[in-house]
Amino acid sequence: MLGRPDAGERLARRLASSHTRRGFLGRLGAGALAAFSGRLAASVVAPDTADARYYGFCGHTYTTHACPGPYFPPRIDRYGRPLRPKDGHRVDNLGRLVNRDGYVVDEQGNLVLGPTGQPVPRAPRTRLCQDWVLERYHLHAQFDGGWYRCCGGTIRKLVDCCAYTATRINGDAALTGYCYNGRKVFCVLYYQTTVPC
Amino acid sequence: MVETIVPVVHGTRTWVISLLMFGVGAVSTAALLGLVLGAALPAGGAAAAMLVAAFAAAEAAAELGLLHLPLPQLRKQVPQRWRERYPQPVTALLYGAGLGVGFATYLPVATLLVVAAGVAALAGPVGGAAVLAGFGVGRTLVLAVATARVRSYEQAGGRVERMARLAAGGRLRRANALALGLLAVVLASAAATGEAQAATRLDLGSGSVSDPSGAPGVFAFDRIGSGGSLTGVVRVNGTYTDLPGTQPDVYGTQVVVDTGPAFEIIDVTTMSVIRTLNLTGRDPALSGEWLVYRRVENGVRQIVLYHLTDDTSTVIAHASLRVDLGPPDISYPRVVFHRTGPDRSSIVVYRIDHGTARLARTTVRYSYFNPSVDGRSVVYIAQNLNTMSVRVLDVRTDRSTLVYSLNKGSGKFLWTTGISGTRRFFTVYDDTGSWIDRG
Repeated sequence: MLGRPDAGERLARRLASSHTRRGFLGRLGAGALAAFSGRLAASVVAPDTADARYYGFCGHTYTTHACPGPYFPPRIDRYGRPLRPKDGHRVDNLGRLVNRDGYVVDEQGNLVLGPTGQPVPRAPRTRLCQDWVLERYHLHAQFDGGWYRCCGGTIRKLVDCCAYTATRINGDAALTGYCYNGRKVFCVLYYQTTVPC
Repeated sequence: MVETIVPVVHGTRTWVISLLMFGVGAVSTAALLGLVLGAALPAGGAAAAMLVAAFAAAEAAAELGLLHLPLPQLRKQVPQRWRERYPQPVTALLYGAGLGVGFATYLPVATLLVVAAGVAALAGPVGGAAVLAGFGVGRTLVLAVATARVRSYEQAGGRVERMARLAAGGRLRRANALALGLLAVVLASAAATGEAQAATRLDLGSGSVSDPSGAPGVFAFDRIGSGGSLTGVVRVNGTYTDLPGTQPDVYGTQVVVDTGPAFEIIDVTTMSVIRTLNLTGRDPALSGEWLVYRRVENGVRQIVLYHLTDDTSTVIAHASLRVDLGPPDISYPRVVFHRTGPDRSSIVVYRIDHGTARLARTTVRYSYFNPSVDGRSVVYIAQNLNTMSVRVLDVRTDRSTLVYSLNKGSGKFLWTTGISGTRRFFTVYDDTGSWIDRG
């Protein structure tokens, strides 16, 4: 799914993992390099094993981990359902390419068949924030706000999946982020718009 | 026996040959024992693993003197006359063969007994042979350690005595109790977490097969031709007979198949067609006077329950074309099928006597499909991001246990299921073909 980290990411990772204290400069340097590398959310740098991890894409660095889903980072469509990150193709909850009817297809769009010639059983294609988080974590989550960055020539929105919770998916204290009415960020996803930038 | 295979008189070369011959004999008979034990019982799942764990724990307690349990063995030594009658390598081969069986001679500890029980309960023939072959290897290694580089019979005897002293004072039994205790813990945790799994591939001849359905003494399935064509086949008392249709489902001594324009019910004892039902649909299943099948009518998917006595049909489930209603199975009074749409995947259990349906398993994240039912047990496939697994659900207790699983990336996938009592059947396939496992 994710490509190998480029030199900037590798440097950021090395810097972050090599220093021994939770120094502000170390974290700042890691974050800056992660941002400078300009990659998608592939950059995961660990200043300290007991500290928060950083994720970043296109100049934005953050610490809340991704929502559960078939791919990392979880790319979603306008309804919050999963897409394949590399090309935005529709996938089901198991990460398989699917056609408009929800049946599993190969890269050429042909139905994937089982040994008796019948299509392989389909899987649901549900909203990663609202549906998955509810079933997995028993939290009623919703989209409140998000951040925007220019990524790959179009605007990308990093979406906060918000819930009434004091703990985020990382297991530590949840942040307010762009959530409202007392909700906090439980996990994050992204939506790649077609708006040029 | 040790004094027979020492490099004292015949030299190192003959010793090496004799040791190899001993190893061949010991590994062969131990593997044969494993093969027989593995084939003796169907490979069990988590429940069987838990039983073996309990047995291992009991034997561990016996080794510590906390329990008294009999140890089946023939308290005999290998015949001394063989060394006088045969050349040393032949004698070594025979001694190895005799000792490889294990139970035919003196057994100081209960480890072999526990492993043999585990092989019988959990492994298939090949797995059993592989596991017990290790016992033969162990016996050979002990002989090699006891006889390597000895210069005299006295030295050989002294070495054996030193080895015996290591085991004296209850040290051997305590060490063995520890090993058995660890085995019990590992098996129990595996069973508790549902990780214990074993499956035996059914020998149904060459070629790909699918769609298992069984009843005591009768087993039916689809054979898949090279062009993808299906042929229903029934096996009764070891005899295979082609059926006039596909997707067979067995009930007692009857089997129903889809011939295309109709469903036919056949008596497998005479292979005569009992009844022809001109119904349009597919995937028929039979239980007594009830037949269930699925169809698409007027752009709607339907599960249809047909009463064979009254010739009446009832649509017990329907859905739009965007929702899958999977192949149904029936075991009166229950009908099961999967229902998977964009928003949810479920195993549905419909009660004929109550006229009600409930979601026995449901998820918005993953996929459940191809259930089969016998009595109150439902076997089905569950697929998540990392694994495909065969699970059995007790519809009364609502508890589900793992039968078998495949990791994503294994290149193998699970397909249709069948169940008859405690025997669960499932189709496994990969790029090369498909086969039916029993777990």
